[in-house]
Amino acid sequence: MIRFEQVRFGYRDGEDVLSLSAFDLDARDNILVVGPSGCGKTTFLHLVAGLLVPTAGRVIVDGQDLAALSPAARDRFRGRHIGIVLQQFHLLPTLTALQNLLVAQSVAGLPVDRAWAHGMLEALGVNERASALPHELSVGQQQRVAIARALVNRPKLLLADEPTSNLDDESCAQVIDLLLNVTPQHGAALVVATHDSRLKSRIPRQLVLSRHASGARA
Amino acid sequence: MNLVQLAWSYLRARPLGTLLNVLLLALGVGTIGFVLIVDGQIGERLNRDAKGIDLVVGAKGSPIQLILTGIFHLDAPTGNIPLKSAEELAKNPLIRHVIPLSLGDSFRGFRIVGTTPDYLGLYDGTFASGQIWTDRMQAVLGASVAAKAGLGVGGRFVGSHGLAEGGAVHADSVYTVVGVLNPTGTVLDRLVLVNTESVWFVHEGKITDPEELKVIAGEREVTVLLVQYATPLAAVSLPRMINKETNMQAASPAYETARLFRMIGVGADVIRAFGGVVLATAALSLFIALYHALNERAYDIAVLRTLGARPLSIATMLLLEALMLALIGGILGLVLAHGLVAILAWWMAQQDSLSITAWTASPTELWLLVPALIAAMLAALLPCWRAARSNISATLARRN
Repeated sequence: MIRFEQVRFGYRDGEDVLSLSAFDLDARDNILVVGPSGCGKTTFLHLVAGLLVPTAGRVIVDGQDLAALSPAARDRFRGRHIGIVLQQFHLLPTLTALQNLLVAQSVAGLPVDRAWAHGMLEALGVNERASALPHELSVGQQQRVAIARALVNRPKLLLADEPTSNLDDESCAQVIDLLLNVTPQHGAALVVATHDSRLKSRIPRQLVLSRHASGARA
Repeated sequence: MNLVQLAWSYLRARPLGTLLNVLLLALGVGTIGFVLIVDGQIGERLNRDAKGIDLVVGAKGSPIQLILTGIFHLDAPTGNIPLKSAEELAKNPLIRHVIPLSLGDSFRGFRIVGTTPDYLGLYDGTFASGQIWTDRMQAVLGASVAAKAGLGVGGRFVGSHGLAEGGAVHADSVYTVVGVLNPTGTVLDRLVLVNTESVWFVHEGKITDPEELKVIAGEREVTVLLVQYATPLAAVSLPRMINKETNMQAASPAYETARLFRMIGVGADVIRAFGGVVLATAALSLFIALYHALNERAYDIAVLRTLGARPLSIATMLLLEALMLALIGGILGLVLAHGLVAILAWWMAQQDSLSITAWTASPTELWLLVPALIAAMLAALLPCWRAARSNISATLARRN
């Protein structure tokens, strides 16, 4: 599903933020990306998502070399194949829960399927809040809507960036349970980037990144 | 959930800012539209009233005053001219046709005009009821006069001296209405037409001594003559001849109305410029709003991009917001313009002045939306460009 080949990324020459000679993730597999802050976890996710393009090497997602796509095509590829759960679950504040899912379908250039979107909300237990605005939802409900939005386009890969930071133990357990249950149901692989040690017991396979860019180890 | 709906959701989410921008745009478009409608309608009215009249001849004085009196019936006469001089002039071979007008009295503020039936022909006046006069003291009412006075055929009224309301009443001289005209949209609508003898009769009626009557008949006057040329060449020599060789004055409606329009035009230009300034302010306000939105929504934009939105889609979303505001503001502005015209029309009707109508919209008015849309596009240009170029990875990383 994901393959890194001699990937290096840096903003300036000679100062790599991330360097990863080889990395593979199979379809439907789960992995935790860990390391201290500033080690390049977010950079790793952004490379996988095609938000960043490597300075050297190739990032291949679902057989597609992301750097070979035009920027617009990369956006479309991301919209259709990769679901992303952001820290704080950022929902678009002017849209209802349902509309947040519909807009994900729309901007990815996919047909808007209300029934399917309702089904996604139902699967995450928040369909009765479909017409609520984000600020009217509890934090837990916002999380569920955000996960539903990330999965609504049937991605093969779900990326989560620090999904549990700022959450208490109970909420943390809920979110990771949700991700681990829902992702395989939809046939997607899961990549969670975190510095949260509470997750280490839940996802055994780990990619450890260190501040020294060369020290990545899968 | 397309981009239009998404843009609309953002407009709805900040109603005050949206309202401000819509109002500014509406005010700009409304002001410009108001001038455009009024300018066009007054020009049209004046041209229609002056149609078919090549020259106005009257007593010496201000030529504009002569035109305003003789054609538009908006000003006081410069004086009268002797009937003899008028008859003399009518014989001039350069003149095809002369219509005399005798002014002096009014009925409820509407002017009583002593003239010949030809005057109706000038404005294609047709009878809603009744017919043209056959004798003196018979009156034909313009449509507005009949409506406002509530008089129909067979109705009787007395004129009062002077052209303004409240003059001394000629109580012993009673007019009978013999005809009411259909509305023409011209000056005819607000006139009371009688034959020329009626005007003389009202002012001479009390004199019975035959000697005196003879003297008076020799001193009869008319107020203005509406002249049609026999040949275009008359324009070259006739006005100069009249102004030089007689104690009458000749004024060209075409020239004087153009002069009048240049004078009014300055005022119109000022209002138009004001509208332009308001529109520019609206564009600036819109620009600030969009630019502000850009910073406020940097993370929203990043989220949309992670969901697969292309840079062009983001730019389109912002542009759509601006265009929607422009469209709403523009349409509201057109309504505002017509509202302002309605107020002016009401005021002018109170003054028995030119009649303008507020509620006839022409499709050409939609061109007024163009400056609003252009203002919106200019305002959106830079924010759109910046939104499309924003670094998504950096925005997302900043928050993390």
